[in-house]
Amino acid sequence: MSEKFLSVKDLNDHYITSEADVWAVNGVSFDLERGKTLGLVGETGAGKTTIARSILKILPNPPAKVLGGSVEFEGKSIYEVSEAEMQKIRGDKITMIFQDPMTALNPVMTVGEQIAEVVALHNGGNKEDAKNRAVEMLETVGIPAERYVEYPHQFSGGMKQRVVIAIALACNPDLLLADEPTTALDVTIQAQVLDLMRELNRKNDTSMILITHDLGVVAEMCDDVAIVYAGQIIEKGSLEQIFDHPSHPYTNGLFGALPSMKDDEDDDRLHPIAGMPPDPTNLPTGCYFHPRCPYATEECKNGPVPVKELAPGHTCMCHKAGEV
Amino acid sequence: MTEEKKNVVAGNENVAKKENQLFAFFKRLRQRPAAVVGLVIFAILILSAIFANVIAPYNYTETNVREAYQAPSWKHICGTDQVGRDIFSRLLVGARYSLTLGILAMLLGNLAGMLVGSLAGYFGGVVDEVLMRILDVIQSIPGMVLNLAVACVIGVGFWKTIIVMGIGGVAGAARMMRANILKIREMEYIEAASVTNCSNAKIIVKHLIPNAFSASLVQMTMGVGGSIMAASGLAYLGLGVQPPTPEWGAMLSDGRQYLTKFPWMCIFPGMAIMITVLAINLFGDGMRDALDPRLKK
Amino acid sequence: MIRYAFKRILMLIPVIIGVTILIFTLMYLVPGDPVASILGSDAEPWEYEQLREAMGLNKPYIVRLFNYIVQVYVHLDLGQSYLSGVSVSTEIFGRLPRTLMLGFISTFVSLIIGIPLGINAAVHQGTVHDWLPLSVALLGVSMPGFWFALMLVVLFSIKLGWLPAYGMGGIQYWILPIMSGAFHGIAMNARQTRASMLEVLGQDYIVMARSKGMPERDVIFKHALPNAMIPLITLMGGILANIFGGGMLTETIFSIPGVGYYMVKAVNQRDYPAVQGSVLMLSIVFSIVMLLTDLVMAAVDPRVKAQFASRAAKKKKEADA
Repeated sequence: MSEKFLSVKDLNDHYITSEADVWAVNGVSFDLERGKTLGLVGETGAGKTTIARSILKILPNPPAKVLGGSVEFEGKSIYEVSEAEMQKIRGDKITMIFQDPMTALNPVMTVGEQIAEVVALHNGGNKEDAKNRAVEMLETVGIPAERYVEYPHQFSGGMKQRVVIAIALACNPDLLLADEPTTALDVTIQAQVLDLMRELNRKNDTSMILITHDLGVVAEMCDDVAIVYAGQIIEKGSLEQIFDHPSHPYTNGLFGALPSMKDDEDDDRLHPIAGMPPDPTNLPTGCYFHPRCPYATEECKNGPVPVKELAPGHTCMCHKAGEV
Repeated sequence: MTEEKKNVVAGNENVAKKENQLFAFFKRLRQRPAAVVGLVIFAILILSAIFANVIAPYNYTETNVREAYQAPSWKHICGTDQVGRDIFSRLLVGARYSLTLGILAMLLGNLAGMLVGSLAGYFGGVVDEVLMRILDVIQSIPGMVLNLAVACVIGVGFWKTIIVMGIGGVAGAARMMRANILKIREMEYIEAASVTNCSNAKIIVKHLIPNAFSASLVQMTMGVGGSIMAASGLAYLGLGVQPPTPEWGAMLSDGRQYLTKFPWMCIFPGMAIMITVLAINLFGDGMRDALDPRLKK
Repeated sequence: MIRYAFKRILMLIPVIIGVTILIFTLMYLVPGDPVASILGSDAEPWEYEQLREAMGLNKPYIVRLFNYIVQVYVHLDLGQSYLSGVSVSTEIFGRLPRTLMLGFISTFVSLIIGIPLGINAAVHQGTVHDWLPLSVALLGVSMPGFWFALMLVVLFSIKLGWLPAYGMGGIQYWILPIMSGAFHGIAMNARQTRASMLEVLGQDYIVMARSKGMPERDVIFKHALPNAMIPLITLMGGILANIFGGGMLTETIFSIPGVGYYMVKAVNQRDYPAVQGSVLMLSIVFSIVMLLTDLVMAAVDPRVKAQFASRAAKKKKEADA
């Protein structure tokens, strides 16, 4: 492939209000190949959703401001195309699945209309085709066609998320941004929804950025993983690299906070990461993780933190990368 | 001894927490300049009502036929009325009547409404059904029409107008209180309280009433302004406070027959009402934003 | 939907009868003796007794209430004015068109001006499109409507001499009353529309609509506006109460011979049949308008419709069991 499919470089997003300046995303860069799935993993409030929304250019402005960086999608710079051109990309080439299906659907529109709407926006406005495609999509995600005329409040959470997925995949997108698509769902429904997404993505060769804080979901779905902390990617690599050789103290912490099924561990306690995530209006100097880091030294407290390449494709943003 | 100490400590913590909440509320309020402006104007109005006798350049009852119908000037900044009384002085004293009227009418209506609303909300069933149907009937009469009909029965004058306005506010307050109680009753902290063996009476007094009350605080604040405006309308129709009481509505009513030639007799009392209600609304808007939990970080 | 409408109309009947009882009782409680005030102080006792009996005032409360209800709902007669002896029904029905016209045009104007101002303010939050109309609206809800009417008279009739200050006639006689009637409603609508638009614009389904590649215009008008209208419909009750109640003041100020003006005169003259009739008629009009807003609400919001449908379904299930 001559050109990169998706390339995000040095993205910086702030939320600026009269009360505070929130440093949501601080210099995020990553690439994604066609057909691959990248997992963005991190705690709530780490800036994952902001990254996804700035790829689609749908951050609410004000208060959100993109201060710098570039997003290149299929060779086009997203931040240089016009709004009209961007509207052609949104919903057609790049689509998004939302975290909370309860609030992502318009309560006064039937679910069928909401699916047909996105099709009509991108097929030149043919209502009949749009409707047929919407019915087809409903059946694809396992909802009977006769529920086309029902309203969101008549659906359960899992069913609503299926509708949201139907909307996101109705135009066979090249890139799907899935923002915690299963967090709001019951565990049994989660598995069904994930299976559905994986199956549909494979069928259409859709690339995906999967945002989650659930490492189990990552292990099941992703090819590459990026760990996000305080608006920065602190470690990224292939699934195997991250899961087998976690190098950043925070990544290690994440794995330590998972329950283990093995009996032969020294102790069967969980190891939560000490302390709280940093306040994004007042980030620490130096490495943003140093106040919580058990290995922090003087050099971590000030100055820039180097990004080290530990193996081809496996990078880690830490003074001690590879040492701990 | 240790038990006692513990109680004292717990009590202090409670007080500290409450002060903290109040402090946080004022801090949030202070970030809204409009709300602060409203509060300051309202404080100035209250102070000038209290010290009206000291500030007023003239005696508000003093007539002076030679100085009647004077347009606003440096001598009489709001002009004089048909018997030569200084309108500015009368407005200052009138603030006492209008503010008292607004506040008392709001309190009367809300207290009665809370009683009805909590009865309906607490007992539910038939009591609720009957009370609600009665409220339906009362609320299907437009407010001003009801006020007029009640004024017809009770009569006119300052105190009677307060009662008329209070009665007019009962239905709305009752409905709001009931809705609040029903909503709060379903909250998990009420369930938590009853699970931890908290008595019914304690739940009502410590949880239900304070929370229902704070939920209607904004509406109550705005209600003061509403009462002042409605009372002025009643006075204008001759069924509220009567001249020569310098209540603002009564002054407006007094001035209406001179509107063509001496409009300031109507302009200034209305402006006094507008400034007062504006201050209350500014403060109320700010309070609503400051209390909105969704805006908290 | 039709069944829902039918049910709501049926529910209106007990409410209207309740209003009848309430207003009759209020007038019964009014101190003073209408017979004495009609005859004057120098009437003979036998004259007094005769008139009292003729007017049915010597009967107990419950009988008089029953007679009044029969008179109103069976004979469709609101009685006769104590003072002029003219039929109250005739007077009121002659005046009703003017009250309705004033009320409905004011409401219409308040909607077509208030809502666009509110939308524009919400979409341009924090700019001059936002704070300027909002400040005016805040002033609008802070001044008594009748005082605003007086100020309009001072400016447009007395100072500029453009429009007549009172009376009936061509369209120029209606401009000031409608302006003053609508002003408060415009302010309320603008404030509420802005508030609920801002609330809705922050919802996920709006971000969703944008993520579909929908032009911002369509996002606002197809997704945000229908949702923002729902709280506004509920608020319409208050605005309409204000317009129909405040109509009394507007009619009085501009000497428009409507039901409100008639009622104010009747109250001042202690003409109770006229007061009862006017309150009843204004309440019926108000209730019907409220009913219409409820029906619009049910048509717009599928959740309200569903509430009714599920209740009906439940009842049906219970009946089947």
